[in-house]
Amino acid sequence: MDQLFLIKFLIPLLWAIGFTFAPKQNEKAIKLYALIGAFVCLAYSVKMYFDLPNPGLLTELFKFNMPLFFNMTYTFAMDGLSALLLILNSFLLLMVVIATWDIKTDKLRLYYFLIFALVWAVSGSLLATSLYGFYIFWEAMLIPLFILVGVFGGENRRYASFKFFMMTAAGSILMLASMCYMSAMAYKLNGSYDLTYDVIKSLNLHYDGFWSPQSLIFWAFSIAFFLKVPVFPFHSWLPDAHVEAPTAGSILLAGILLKLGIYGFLRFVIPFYPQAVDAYRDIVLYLGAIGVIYGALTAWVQKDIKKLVAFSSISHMGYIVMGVFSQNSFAVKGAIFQMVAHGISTPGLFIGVHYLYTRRHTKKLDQFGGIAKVMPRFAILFFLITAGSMAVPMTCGFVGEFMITAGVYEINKIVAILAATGIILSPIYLLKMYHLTALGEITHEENKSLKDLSLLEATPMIVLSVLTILLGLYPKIVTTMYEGTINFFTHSGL
Amino acid sequence: MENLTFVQNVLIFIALNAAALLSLNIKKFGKYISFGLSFIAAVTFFSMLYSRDVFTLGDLFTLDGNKVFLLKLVSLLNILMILINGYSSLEKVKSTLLVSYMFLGGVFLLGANELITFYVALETIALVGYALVATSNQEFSREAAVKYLVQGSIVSAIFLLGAAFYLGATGGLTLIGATVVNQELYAIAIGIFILTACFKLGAFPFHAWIADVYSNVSLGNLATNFFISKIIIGYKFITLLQLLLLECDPHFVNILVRIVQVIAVASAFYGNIMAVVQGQFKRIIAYSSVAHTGYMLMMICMTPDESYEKQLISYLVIYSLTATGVILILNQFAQLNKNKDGRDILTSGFYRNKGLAIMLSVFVLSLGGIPLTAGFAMKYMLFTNFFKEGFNLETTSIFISSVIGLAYYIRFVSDLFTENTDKMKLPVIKTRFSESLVHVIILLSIFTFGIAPSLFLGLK
Amino acid sequence: MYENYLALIPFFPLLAFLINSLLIKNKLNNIQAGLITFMGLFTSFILVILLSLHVQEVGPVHVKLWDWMNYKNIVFDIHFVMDQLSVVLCLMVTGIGSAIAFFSIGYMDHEEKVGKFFAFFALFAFSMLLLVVGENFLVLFMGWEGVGLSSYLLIGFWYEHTKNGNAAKKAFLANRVGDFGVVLGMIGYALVFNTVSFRDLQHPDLAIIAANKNLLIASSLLLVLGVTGKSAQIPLFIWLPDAMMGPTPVSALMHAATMVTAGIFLLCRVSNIIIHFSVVLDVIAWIGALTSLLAALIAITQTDIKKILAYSTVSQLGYMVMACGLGAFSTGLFHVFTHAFFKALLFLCAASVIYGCHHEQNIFKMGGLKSKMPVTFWTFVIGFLAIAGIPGFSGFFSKDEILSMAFTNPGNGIFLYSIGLISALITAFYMTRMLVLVFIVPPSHDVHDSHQHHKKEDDSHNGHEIHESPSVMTIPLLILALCSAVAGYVGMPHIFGGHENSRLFQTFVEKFTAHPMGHRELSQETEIIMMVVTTILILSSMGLAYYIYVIKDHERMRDKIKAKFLGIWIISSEKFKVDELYEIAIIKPLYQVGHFLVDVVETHIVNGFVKLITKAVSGSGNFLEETKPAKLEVGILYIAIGTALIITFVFSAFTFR
Repeated sequence: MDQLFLIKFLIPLLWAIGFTFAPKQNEKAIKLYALIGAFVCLAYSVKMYFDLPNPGLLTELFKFNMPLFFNMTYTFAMDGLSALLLILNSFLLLMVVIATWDIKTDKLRLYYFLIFALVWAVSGSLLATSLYGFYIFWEAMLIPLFILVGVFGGENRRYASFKFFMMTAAGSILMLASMCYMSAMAYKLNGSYDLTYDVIKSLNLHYDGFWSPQSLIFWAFSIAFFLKVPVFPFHSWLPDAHVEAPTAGSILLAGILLKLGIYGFLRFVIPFYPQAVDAYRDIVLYLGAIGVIYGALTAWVQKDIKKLVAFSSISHMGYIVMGVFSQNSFAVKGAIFQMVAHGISTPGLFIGVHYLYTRRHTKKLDQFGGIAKVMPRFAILFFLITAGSMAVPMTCGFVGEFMITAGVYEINKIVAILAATGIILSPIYLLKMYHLTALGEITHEENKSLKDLSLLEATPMIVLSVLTILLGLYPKIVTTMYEGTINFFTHSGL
Repeated sequence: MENLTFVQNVLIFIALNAAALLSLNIKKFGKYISFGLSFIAAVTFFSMLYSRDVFTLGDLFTLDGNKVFLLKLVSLLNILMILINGYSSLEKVKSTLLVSYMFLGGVFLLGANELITFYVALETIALVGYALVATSNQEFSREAAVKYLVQGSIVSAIFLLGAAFYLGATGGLTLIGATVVNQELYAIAIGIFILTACFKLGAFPFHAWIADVYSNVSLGNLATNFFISKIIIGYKFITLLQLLLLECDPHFVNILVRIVQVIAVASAFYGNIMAVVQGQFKRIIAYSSVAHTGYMLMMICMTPDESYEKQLISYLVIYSLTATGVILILNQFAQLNKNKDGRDILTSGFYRNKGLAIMLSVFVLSLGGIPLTAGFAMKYMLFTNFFKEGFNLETTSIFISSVIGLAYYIRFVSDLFTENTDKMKLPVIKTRFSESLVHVIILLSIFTFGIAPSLFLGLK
Repeated sequence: MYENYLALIPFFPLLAFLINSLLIKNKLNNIQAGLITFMGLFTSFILVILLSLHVQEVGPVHVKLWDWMNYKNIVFDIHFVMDQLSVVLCLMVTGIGSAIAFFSIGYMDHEEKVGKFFAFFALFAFSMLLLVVGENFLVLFMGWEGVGLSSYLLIGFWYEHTKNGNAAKKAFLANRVGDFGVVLGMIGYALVFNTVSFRDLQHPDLAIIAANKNLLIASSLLLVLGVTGKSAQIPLFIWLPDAMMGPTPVSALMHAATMVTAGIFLLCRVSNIIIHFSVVLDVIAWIGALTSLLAALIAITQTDIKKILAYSTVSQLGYMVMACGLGAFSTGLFHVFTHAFFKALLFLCAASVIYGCHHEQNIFKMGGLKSKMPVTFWTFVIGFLAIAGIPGFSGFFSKDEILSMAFTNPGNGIFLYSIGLISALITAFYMTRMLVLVFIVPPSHDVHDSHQHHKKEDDSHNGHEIHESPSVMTIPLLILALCSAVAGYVGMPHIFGGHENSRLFQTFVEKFTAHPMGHRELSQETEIIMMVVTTILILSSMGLAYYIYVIKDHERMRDKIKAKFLGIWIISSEKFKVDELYEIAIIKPLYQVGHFLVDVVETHIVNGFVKLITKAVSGSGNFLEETKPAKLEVGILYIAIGTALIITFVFSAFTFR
């Protein structure tokens, strides 16, 4: 039991509260304070990984009992997977702080407060292993992002933030319903409302057909997580949220929040409802495959560059859902890797779009063209990140997609072939984006005088491109972290 | 105080209030004197409650364990409301006096063991309610008062019919320990009692009066109305019906339970859907109370045991507290914009008064059931128990309706945080010390209940 | 010691790439950038020579750099091998690569941002070497796509003109369609044989092959799709002619000598498996034959010098793929070997011609360069003789062996032989046409005024007179000419070189690749007769071309021919409308589907569903709002109905009793 855990865990929140006392006028101090905070968060998340005795198993970090809240115990534990996502989470926080260094707003303290609160909520849900802890942080995540998009977003940000909040909250209410049902069962079974890991396991709800408790609860959880991931039919909030969200919101949303839906599956659905997972595996696989193709084709047709990137992340997340649900150890390992890879390439794209937006104040693709001549450094870095997103073999994008396609190939050939078409489709829209922005003649007068990236602006993209290449060539850095946990997530042991 | 019997205390309470009433027409200091007197009356009654743990008045009236606990809470909140109403305007002091009579009615209703006292107490609360609506000088308050009066009287007539059936079924009017002779009559009587409960609490088919009354009562009265009538009537009806259902023939029980569930789900959906489309705050609060009544009515179908009553009390108290908090803050915002009630008075509230805006968002999120607030604890507690009782379908449908509820609660927050362009012109809101004190109290109680509900419920 | 030689081979071009790309900004002048890339390639060339000697005596050399991933017992690791197959390809890539690098120092000297060109050049060499020395599918695929990526970068080098960018994008997407096949094929093999390393795939055990026949056939066909993508065969060859937008040395290096041969290399790598499936072999053979015929037909009517060479490359690639399809992988590889030399030579000659004529690429505008550019002319003649298949030159040996392999192949061998022969004749025809029009026929009148036009344009070029290219360009031409003349003797048939030093190349390569199966024995006499007949036919078609284009006035002749078979002429000159066919058949409908998805599915179904819910809630809300009991009597009516319902409900319980 790690005594220091509570302090380390609360660092982002305390740092966020620190912002309220920061001097209002002195923007430099606030930004510096945020930067230091980001570094501290990254450092502590890396340290927590190295403190883990065995990243393969869930090591209990902290367990506190709430006798007054229906005698509920909240357990916090951590294994390789949550450590990996935690590091990604604080890494993206650092990227956000650096990338949006030049933000000009009079509500700077609120801006950073919301970002740090969001990061804290995400780290909370990553560490909580009792269903209630997870649920509380899951809900807590929605509010800072809701306000972030609502206050700092684009034109019809209210509609986008409202739609985002309502769809994810509706999903989580479904989750709450099934949690209440399970705690009622738990109360009958052993007299306490608790829903820690072993209590859920001891419930072993029986499964026969759709209307049995296990499948209903499975679908309640799945819909909640489908809405969050988002999987094909439930994704209508993502494009609006991304187009309207400020860059910080988009980066954190695409980088880590979408992964929490997948993390929820891995942690709370797959280990507990084996029969339901097996019964509905094909449906979800086909949904994932459709998501891949649907995301790619709709991205290809988009006029707005941020919407294009949003739809591209639907396509990537389709891959991940397929990997997770195929229950094949290689595909699951690939899916988790793809989560990290997507968490590197898509934020890179959003940072690139942010720089284009701050220079030309437009997100329309036809406004750009021939920027490589004027901004060579941006063109090169943007190309490397697009290559990563296009799953070119020596980059991180390829590793995950290859493993998922290979793993799913063993389970269901048609789905694997459908997914493999992603290899053809993803360069179509990504190259279209790259050609319309960076290559070709300079058609618009303003593009002639664009300033290339300063060193500070370039650092996040440089870091992300180096990571793209590094993880592509040597993926073992990441896979060793969560390799041990795979057999928890593939109950059928394929 | 201890040696005085219960009756003497009540007499003192009435005397003090009567004196307060008389002192109103003293020219200069009338308001202050009557305020002081009514305050003293409330405090003495509150302290009386601590003298003994059981109060009986022959076999007509007994106050024991949970009821006394509830009464303590309600009288404490009553004192709080008297403070809020303050002594600034004559009209406010008048409504405080009316409310204290309503409180008295509530006390008798709570302890009533047989139908006559039950009926009398119910009528006193209703009458004072009509008066409260009539005296608040809103646009259509007189018209709303008349409508409320007519509907109320019809329902009390039906209640008497029910009492007659009850007499026929059990040969007596005592509510406790009655032996049921004729099951059919007994079932009809319970049916009618359910009906009156639905009307008094404002469930779906009988909610007609809620929207008018709530939108035509001044915000201060609305808060007081919430306290006394809602909590006591809700508690008394639900526990009474739970007891009555015990003696009823199981064949009838599942019919009656089915009725209650249908009403509960219908009013949950109705309340939430109507609240989404409303433009004015009072109407939003009215329909959200319809929805919450829906959640509450499900409690009738549960088998009564010690912890359920405690949970019911905490649900009622916390819900009323949060709703009052919301009303008070909206009252603050409304005062700035010449008492308008539209939603635009809230825009960029965050930038005008950070404290108020954050508190309003917390209260609203608690009503919506977002974790770490009392609302979440209530919702979780209630629905787990419903699942325990096996009402799976009804509870899931109520969950779904609460999603719609979330829509208009979160709209409050988004209004607060949206920044309209000319925010400079809207002045920053100043709050009086007493109001901010009350807000803080409510905020603290919400968080404490949210984090540690067993404090109230005394769960093992 | 040899292991780290092997590890260093891809490292040097990578080093050159890093130096060039990182130092672009501080103005590395063109010569230095070119030299760095040349040195990178040349040192690898030397290492490859050392290793090839070692491999000849001892056998393959392996080095494992680091572990990448593993799944059950399949080990994916970064693992290099230098076996017989990869020695040949490495020699070609590094040898011809360094020659072309040396050449392009001169060719590209007046361009700006040349550092970037040489960086991509080195990146291409690195990925090609990765592809060749890869010991397992993973490293091969890394090289495979790396090559695709660097060809995208090089074709789109002059990205200012959008048509170059689009050509680059088209090349990359066509390759990606191929890669789709390679990935699925790779996974199929990995799951069946539980390994991705070529060392194990070289000796697959027949039981497994028999057990899952269909899966293996499907995977092999998918691999063939990848081959057609990379080596520009029938379905996916559309990108090669457009790839000519890039600088000519790039076309010489990638789209003639090295990159396009990757497909045949992959076939040789998996030859031991696909040899067992006659279905797959037939498909490959027919694809190869038809491609060579189609490309040859198109090449006749092309006017751009680089397009002619591009289509001739496609047609020669058709030959190699046909050879693999006949099971004669080593013969195919021999043709790859010889073709690399003379095609690189032809392209470089074309480059020096273009360089001389101030970037004029239309052969009808050139003419009479024989006197002005003697070195280029004579080296071009050698290349011409090689590609036409005149005995004694390298083309003859390899092409003739393929034709004899086709002839002796049972089943449909005779058809393949006839197609191969026809396309050989057409090759001879259009090559003579090009030789004659560019070098021999005096420049027609309109060439002169085009010079005035050019003179005004870029006076920087010293004088408007056409003159021989500088020595830095002619030296590689001479070297390549020598090689393309001599290269044939390495794999001579028995007739010439007697038994011991004949087919040296093939026997060396066949240590790795599979041996052809079921070929009829060919007596010496028939072989000689066949050679004589083919040579006579080739000489006659060369004479015909000479007759048409030199003696007759070729404008009138062309109109006459055009009049006679107008239809074929137009179709052929319009590249058989293949690009438009793809546009209409695949790209347009896919775009429509995209629009459909966005306009209909996204707005109406996905968002529509959400709007439906919100509309349902607010709609029912508004409806209820209207019907709410505002008036008193309606309120009372509600109460009455409510009571009535409850009571009837309770009464209903009575009747059931």
